[in-house]
Amino acid sequence: MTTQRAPRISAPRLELRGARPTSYSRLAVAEATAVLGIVSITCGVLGLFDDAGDALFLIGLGLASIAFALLARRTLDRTHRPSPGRVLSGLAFTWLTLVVIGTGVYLATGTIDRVDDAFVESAAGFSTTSLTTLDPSELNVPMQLWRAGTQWIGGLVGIIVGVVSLPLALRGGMLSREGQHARERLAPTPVVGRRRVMLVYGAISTLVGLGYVATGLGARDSLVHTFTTVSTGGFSSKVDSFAGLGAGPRTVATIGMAIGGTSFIVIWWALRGRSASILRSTELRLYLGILAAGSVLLALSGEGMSIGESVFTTVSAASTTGFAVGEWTALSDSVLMVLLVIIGTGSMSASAGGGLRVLRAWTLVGFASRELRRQLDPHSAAVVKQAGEPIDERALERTTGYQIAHLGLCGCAAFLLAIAGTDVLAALYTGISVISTHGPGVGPGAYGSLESFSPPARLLLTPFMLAGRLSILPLLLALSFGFRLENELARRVRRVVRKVFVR
Amino acid sequence: MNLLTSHRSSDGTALARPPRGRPNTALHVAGIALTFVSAGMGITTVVELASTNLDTGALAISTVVCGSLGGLLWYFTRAGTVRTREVFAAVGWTWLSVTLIGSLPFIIAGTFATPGTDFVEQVVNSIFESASGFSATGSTALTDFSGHGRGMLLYRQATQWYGGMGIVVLAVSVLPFLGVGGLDLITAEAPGPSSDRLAPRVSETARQLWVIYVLFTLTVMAVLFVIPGPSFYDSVAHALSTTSTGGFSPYSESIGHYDSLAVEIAIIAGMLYGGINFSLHWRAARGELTAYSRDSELRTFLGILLVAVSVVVLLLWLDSGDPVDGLGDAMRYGGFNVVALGTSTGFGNATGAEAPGDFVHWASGAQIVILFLFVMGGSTGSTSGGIKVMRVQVLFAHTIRSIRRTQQPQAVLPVKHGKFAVAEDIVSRMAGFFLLYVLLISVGVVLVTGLGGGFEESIGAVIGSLGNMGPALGEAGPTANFSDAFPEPARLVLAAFMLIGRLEIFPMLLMFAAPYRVVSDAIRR
Repeated sequence: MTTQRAPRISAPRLELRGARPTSYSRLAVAEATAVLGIVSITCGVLGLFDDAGDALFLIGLGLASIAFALLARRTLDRTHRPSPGRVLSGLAFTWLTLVVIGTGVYLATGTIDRVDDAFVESAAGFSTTSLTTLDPSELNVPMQLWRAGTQWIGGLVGIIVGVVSLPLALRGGMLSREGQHARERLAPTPVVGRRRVMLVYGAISTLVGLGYVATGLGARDSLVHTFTTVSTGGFSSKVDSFAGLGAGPRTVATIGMAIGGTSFIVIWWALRGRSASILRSTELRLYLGILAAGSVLLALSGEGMSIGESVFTTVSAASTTGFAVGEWTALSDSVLMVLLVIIGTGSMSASAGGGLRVLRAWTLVGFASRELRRQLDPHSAAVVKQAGEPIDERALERTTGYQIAHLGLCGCAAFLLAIAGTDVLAALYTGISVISTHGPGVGPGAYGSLESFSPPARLLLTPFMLAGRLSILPLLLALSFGFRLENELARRVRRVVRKVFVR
Repeated sequence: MNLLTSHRSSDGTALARPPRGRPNTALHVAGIALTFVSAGMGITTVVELASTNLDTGALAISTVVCGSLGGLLWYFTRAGTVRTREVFAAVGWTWLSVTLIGSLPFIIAGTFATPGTDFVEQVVNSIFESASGFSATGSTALTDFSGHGRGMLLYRQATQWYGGMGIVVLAVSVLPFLGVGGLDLITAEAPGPSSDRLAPRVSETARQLWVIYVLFTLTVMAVLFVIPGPSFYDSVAHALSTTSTGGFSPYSESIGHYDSLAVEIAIIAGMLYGGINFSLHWRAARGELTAYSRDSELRTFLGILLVAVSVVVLLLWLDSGDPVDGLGDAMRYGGFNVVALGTSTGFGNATGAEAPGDFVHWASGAQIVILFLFVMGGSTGSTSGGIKVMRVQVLFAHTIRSIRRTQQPQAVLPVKHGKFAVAEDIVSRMAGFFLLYVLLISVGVVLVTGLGGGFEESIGAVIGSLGNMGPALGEAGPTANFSDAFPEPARLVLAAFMLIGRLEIFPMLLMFAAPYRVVSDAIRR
């Protein structure tokens, strides 16, 4: 019997004339600079009446950024799917580019004199960490807005990483199968996903801004806090954050922060009217449970906090925002520890917040519980479940590895801070707080001032801010790419040396 | 499993005698362990009687109570089934009963009866001291060391010696017919993920381990006695807590009491030996000296200690704010404390508060290194605590694999320890252990701070108790005591953490599984 081979049909290759091969880094940088350009122009235009010099500089920067983005997009071929490593290292590269641009802005406008301080301020902004080297009340309007705008961009990057980039890089194998399906529906392609995220993020920010204005906050303060609330950034136009503001703005901030810490998938469900899916979400229930338990604990702790202040502080910690209503020196050690646990656990996955993430923490508890049960019956085929469905073992393996890396980085941060002169407790607390992109705590205080940290200690915080913002993996992969490049370089050098010697 | 013993009738016919007592492995093992502990109490009673004669009555009464209770449990029960539930129950209940009964001498003698201390606080302190002793932790609630008899202080040292190698291992050595379950008992108690079988029979393995342990103790004792400084009594006392990597001393200044470099070097050697896997010592004793150099865990352990010593010495030398003066002092105090904490012994060589060896006054970086050592501990199968170097190695490899997996999702990437691939279920178990460890630390710090402990002290004490270290940070440092640093309930929590850490979490958490099954079955019936 002979078989006839079917003719091979080759897929048509999409090729753009003059386009270069795929570079995810360049693509990501192009898109990020486009957003940076829009934010810079907005801040510049709104700040024209206050300081024309800085405002015009920002407008110029914005136009240049947009021009660069358009140029870069025209020369890139986006038909190929990048490898996971390239996606994640591309994110790290994008973030570094933004931070370098931000450093340049602070130096060029004379807002900060020292390069290292400018770098730290920029990194804190783009990583949505509420740590600062500045007194915000001394800043002019355009720079105050732009500083807050960096956090808005950082929050957007955080959501895009959670909703688009990580699923793209990890190619399935996510912890929650339901979440994975929802992600696929929210972001059928990376471009659509990014566009939807930007639209919804912008809309929520606008609503929060209107809320601030409605509660009587001034235009400038409203805009600054709008940028830093939904993004879970935590920068404020006031030195004492929300301590001097009334109950109205606090309530808006509490709602805004809570939304900022909520998974974008849940928000997407809410917009699509899928209340059943929302109610079924284990992570949302846990997140709300943490908020409720934390608020009750703080209110009952006898620290003199009202219920509103307790809720505000808990939401600020859980969403890793960093707004404060009072200095933490008055809080007892047990309350500080509870807040540290909340900060370390962090917000929901695929949100603008940071931390370990509620879903991961819950999965790890399930994993530890399974291993405990396995002690009694070593041959049992126990599985860890999420929303009634078993979790893939490889996803579990990655999550435990991630958790160990997370803890290891916290330890490294604490060690480096301690070497740079920070005391033990402040080093430990700040290490965890910074990797969670929260910032304030024992050491910097509730308002996140880095005054008590030495310049080397401040600078040492920046890689950990990056690790926190980009979910650690990109940083580790970028490092591994670095090592690989180094190895490749060393191999080439060895080859050349060998050739020279042989000749 | 043949539990029947034979005897002959008057006409010489062999008869099968029914086994004595009810089958209950947990009570049986606890009975044997209590009997052994009472023997130690008896010896220290004699020492007390022959020396200071201050606490003879208390020690004698405790010996009788402990011995009677142990003897009764041993006589009226027998080893039953040794399934997983029973193993955890046996190990957990044995340690709990030994800790509680072991606190009797302190309670009866009023060791903690200082002005302003009520009876409840005395009992709490006694249980704390007993838990710290038997778990070989070395934290103390004792404020005054001078007002107690030599026998009582020696008993305190002996608790650590019992705890170092393990009282269940000791009990198993006299249980000849326990089969595979016996090895499970040793594994459940022994520090580390696995326990090597040194001899074909489990009881023989347990005996071999104790023989090495006794010989090691005698060697340390002889070396300390030869060195100028410690008396015979001091040599015995410190040998007991060095080999067990416990860290108790009959002096409030610990090893700093002698202010002698020679004594410190001898103790460092003893602590290092105690921090190494005992199966390696056993192989070396049988002439296989290359066992040390071939062991990946040992190489890593020594490497980490070397790096830690270098970093701490450098930081102490460079930091002008430290009480340490010059490179020589930095090497002496840094080296001693890193080894003491890296092996989870917890001895101190500070001659007083804020003296050079008081590490809570060192540079912050050095203290963070110390905190890392609190978590790490020594080798598996040694007398030290912590999560163990082998777990650190495997978990590190597991993390690297997770990152590599992101780049190569379909690749087969085994986790390796040395030259060997580690089975996936072992990796999973170690990751689960580590997560539980972190979870317990978080819960512990919340609890202890909630009960009134300071933040820094609580972090140090919880990590230190779980790792069986001894001293903590802040106000609970090497020259301080825990009764000043923590309120009573917090001390009880820390005592529980010491036992949980000593038994590597699982037995203490699962010891209620067997009774729970019995109760639930009864309810169901």
